[in-house]
Amino acid sequence: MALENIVKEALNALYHHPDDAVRSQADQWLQNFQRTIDAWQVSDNLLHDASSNVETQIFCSQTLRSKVQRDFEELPSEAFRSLRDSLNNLLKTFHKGPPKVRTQISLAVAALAVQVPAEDWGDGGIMNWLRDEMNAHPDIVPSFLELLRVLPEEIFNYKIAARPDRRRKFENELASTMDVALGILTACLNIPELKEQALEAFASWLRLRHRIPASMLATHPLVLTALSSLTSDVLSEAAVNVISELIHYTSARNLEGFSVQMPLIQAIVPQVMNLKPQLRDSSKDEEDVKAIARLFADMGDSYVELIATGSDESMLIVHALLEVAAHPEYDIASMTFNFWHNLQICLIERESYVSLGNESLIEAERNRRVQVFRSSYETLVSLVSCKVQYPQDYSELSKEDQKDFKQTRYAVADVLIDAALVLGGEPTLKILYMKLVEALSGHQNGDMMDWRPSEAALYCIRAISDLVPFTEAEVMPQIMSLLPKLPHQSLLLQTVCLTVGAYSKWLDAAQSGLSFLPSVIDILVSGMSMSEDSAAAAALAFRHICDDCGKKLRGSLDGLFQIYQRAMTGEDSFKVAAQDSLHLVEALSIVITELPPDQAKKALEALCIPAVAPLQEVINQGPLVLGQKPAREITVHIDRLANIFRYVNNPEAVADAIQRLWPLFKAIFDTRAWDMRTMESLCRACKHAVRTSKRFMGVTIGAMLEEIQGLYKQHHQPCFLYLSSEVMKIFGSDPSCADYLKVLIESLFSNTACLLTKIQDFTSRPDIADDCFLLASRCIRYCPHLLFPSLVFPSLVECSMIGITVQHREASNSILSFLSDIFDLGKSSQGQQFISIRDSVIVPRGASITRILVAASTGALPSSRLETVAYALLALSRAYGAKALEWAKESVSLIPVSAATDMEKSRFLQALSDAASGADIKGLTVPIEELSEVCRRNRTVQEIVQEALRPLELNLVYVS
Amino acid sequence: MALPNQQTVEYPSFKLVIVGDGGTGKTTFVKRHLTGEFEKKYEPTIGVEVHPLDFFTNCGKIRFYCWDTAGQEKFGGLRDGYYIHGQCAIIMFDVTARLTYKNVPTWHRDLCRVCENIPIVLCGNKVDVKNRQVKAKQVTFHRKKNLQYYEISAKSNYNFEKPFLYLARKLAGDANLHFVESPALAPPEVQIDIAAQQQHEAELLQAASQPLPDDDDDTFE
Repeated sequence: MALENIVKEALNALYHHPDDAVRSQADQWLQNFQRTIDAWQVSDNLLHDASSNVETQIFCSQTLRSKVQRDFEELPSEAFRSLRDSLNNLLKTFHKGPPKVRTQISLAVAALAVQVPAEDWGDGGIMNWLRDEMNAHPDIVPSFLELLRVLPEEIFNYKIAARPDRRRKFENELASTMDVALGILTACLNIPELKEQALEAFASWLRLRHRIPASMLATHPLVLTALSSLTSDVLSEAAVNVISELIHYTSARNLEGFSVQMPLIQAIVPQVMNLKPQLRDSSKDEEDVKAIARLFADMGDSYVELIATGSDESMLIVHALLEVAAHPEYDIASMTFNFWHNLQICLIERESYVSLGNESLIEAERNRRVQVFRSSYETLVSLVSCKVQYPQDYSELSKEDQKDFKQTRYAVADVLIDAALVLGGEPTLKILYMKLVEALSGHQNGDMMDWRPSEAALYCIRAISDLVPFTEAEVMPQIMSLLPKLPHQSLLLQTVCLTVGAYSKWLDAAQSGLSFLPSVIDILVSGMSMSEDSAAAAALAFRHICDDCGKKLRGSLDGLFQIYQRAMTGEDSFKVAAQDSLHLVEALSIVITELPPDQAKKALEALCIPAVAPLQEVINQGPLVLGQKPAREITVHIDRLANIFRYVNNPEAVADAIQRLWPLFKAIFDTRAWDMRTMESLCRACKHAVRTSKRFMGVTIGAMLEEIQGLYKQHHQPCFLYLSSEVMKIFGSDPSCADYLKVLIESLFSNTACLLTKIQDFTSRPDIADDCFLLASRCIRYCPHLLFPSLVFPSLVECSMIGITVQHREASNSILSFLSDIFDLGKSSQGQQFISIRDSVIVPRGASITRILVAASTGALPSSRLETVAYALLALSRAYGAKALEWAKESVSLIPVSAATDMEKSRFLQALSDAASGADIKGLTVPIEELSEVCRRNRTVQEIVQEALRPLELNLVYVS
Repeated sequence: MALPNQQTVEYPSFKLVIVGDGGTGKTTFVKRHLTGEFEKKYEPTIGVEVHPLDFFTNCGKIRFYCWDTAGQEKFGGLRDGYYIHGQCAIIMFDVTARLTYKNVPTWHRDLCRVCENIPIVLCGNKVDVKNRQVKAKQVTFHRKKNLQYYEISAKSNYNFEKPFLYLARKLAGDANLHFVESPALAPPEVQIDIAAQQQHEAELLQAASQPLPDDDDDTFE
């Protein structure tokens, strides 16, 4: 009994002990216990021990289930029969015990059935056995019903250590006995207390939907019972689950597909429609209302193509969905939003009509359908536009609830766009404008105006701005003249500003546009002074106006500069936050781009002053002061310069500016190289300067690279690698830069290789690994002539080999992409000439690389990373043909037969061989996935495989 | 559902199980409350780690014992062996990795097989990242009963409290329960600030079905 008692004690510690260390020790012990062969017997004993508490029973049932799922193969083959009988006994013992224990035992039986072929199971396979057992033991039918329910669920449970082949066969076994299953479930309907379970099991069997003939279901007693149970108190949840599955089952991609399903659809729809009144029943529990709404939403999503035909029946569904959309609870109303979007696509997109053939027929049918749905979308606009109105207590909401409300508004805006696509921009604008007028007229007969309804209407008007034609001349001018007259309430003003920004293209194109610009700019200025939120909106709108109406504004440059300076210095009444001021920087930068060259240079200088002056002031106080400033006080100005460099699209002017500013930048590099935030900001500014001015950079680029090359040795900032990769893109192929770029990458790579000498280094600095191999991939693409002949190339390859198995997603992806890029070198004409150098580095290491990649695919990396690993393996095979196959054979032969069969290995090798002979890589991943799955099927196997493929870490010493 | 020895504090406490694929940010999420540090490194959780998290409500203090479980199969330890007595749960996925959302039904099913009818929150983490693969609209799994969905960003603290508040309300059976003071959170690593939101707003309005354009700024080609 010793082991049994330790299990009990350990469980008590795991679940109840307050001390982390004790708990963790118990956890460890139990994990080890689950892996022992004793766990089978001990669990069984404890389950039969009447003194075991529920915790022990649940845990032991889970252990037994896990053992069957994962470790079944550790039992001798003759043990199967007694295991099956013993589990069957437990099912019987626990049919009145805790339901959770019974569930786990059912799962164990199901796992056994997944792994044991029908002919070995005996008694005609699992389903026939199950039916006979149920007939023989009517008293424990509930236990068997649960087993019946979990069987289809377990087909794709990858915790079960079944091989892919066996899994497919099991699916076939179940599908071929569908009639047995449905027969049992139908029989259970006669016993009232089994109805719920029978329906739940039926929902589960519907997963094998493509194996069930549609004709059979429409009149099937199970379907009819589910439909009639929708209104039952006890059965409604199970019924909803069945009907939801059935709705998905009956969905189709096209009308022909639907025709087969019609009888069933016609059985479902009227019954679901009967639930409509319950949506408005306030006595209903919110979860029940949600369940009903879900059915309507499911119908909408699944039948959208059918509904789009506009038949009378389908309009009933649409009306019901409008009712769901009208529900005051946003979570419920929003369930329909996908439907309105998909219906819009069906109505508008040409593909829905191609079967009609000729253009005029298509056009006519489209017009007819749009006409049918017009009033529904009009109603929808009215319904959802109410949801964007600010609640009375908005200001008292928490910051996060305020953000949630904004999310609601974005979602509603999307629905409005869908509606406008169906109704047309102008008609939708008219509806919304009427709402605005209505909201404003309310205030004439009252004393104080409620700004909320007008704000809501305006928000909606703004949402559809992209769909309002520039030529609109009826409503837009009226709106634009209304805007300056609206009261200056912060949230309203914010929306007014955003509306101005959203219609900037209209302002530019409309005949009356120019006449509105002065008043519009005035609004934006008051927006900047009102509150931080309205200032943010005004800044954004300002950018749009400058972007789209730049030519019209050229004459008002002085005024624009004044606004800019007021916002930058922050001394004024302006409330523009640092982040938002970047919009103004961008706005002015765009206007400057339009100027003639000589003016542009001057204007650029003026633009930089508000950012440069404060930086210069700090620097003048000496390195000590500069070094002690909080990063934020430095980066705010650098970020502004970065935006200037980015948006003033005048290479010469920007080159001129960066050259002038370089001493200032250098001072910051020199003093704050330890500070990641400042360096990231500074490198970003340099990046934009390089991108915009390109070859005009002249001598500054050399100084910049020399600077980061020197600093990288000491400070290892990943952003230095990132900036370098940006430089490679522009200067990599320039022969005049070859010498110093070569020195640069050799220095950066050899320094990085010294940092990353073992897998732990990759784990603790994934950011460096990531940026290093991204840079390396860039070099392969833009300057292979510098990378391949260099001595640093072999050490970079070795460094990558150490890091392949790093768990960090981005880092591991960058490393694998780097290797794939090397293997794919032959695909580019430019790369051809370096193949022999590449081979001299890769071939001697090919066997190791392959072994590590095989290990990565079979368990060293999570299976979610498999696609990338598989590509690398296939690219390697494509590049090295027979050699790669030899390496792969060698690696795979290390995997013991107990882990993977010769057949599984040879399928894997065949895929690589197909890749080597030029087959499309996309079609070859399945055998790699299957070997991967087989080698991960349980922990023991996975450990055997990983042990066999060692070592993964190559400990090398670098000389820099 | 009070357990004999679990109640080491004199105010109500609940066992909260956190599950989801490896790398979705479960550990980062619970640790924001404790140490306040955002960790750039990724070291997979092995087995389970239990963290007590206290919240102050208008009805008094409550504690969640958060069982932060391993997401990766390889490091899974006892897996659903940790779920016993779970009174509420969080299922985490990563909106930048589609597969992690695809696996949500499996986590949900395994959870429900051990903990029947408990309130569960589905959390889509990493909404601060530009390259989203799972859009809010594509998330429909929470139409199921007793499931609430929140978008969160462990990195920026965005919506950190929401999942706990929902669970606390369900457990207390009081829809009006609220937190009276915020837990001491670490300063956010990235700001999801209003300006960025408005920019999003402008861009989100484009079209729901279109993929968001990648910001050239940070992508390598």
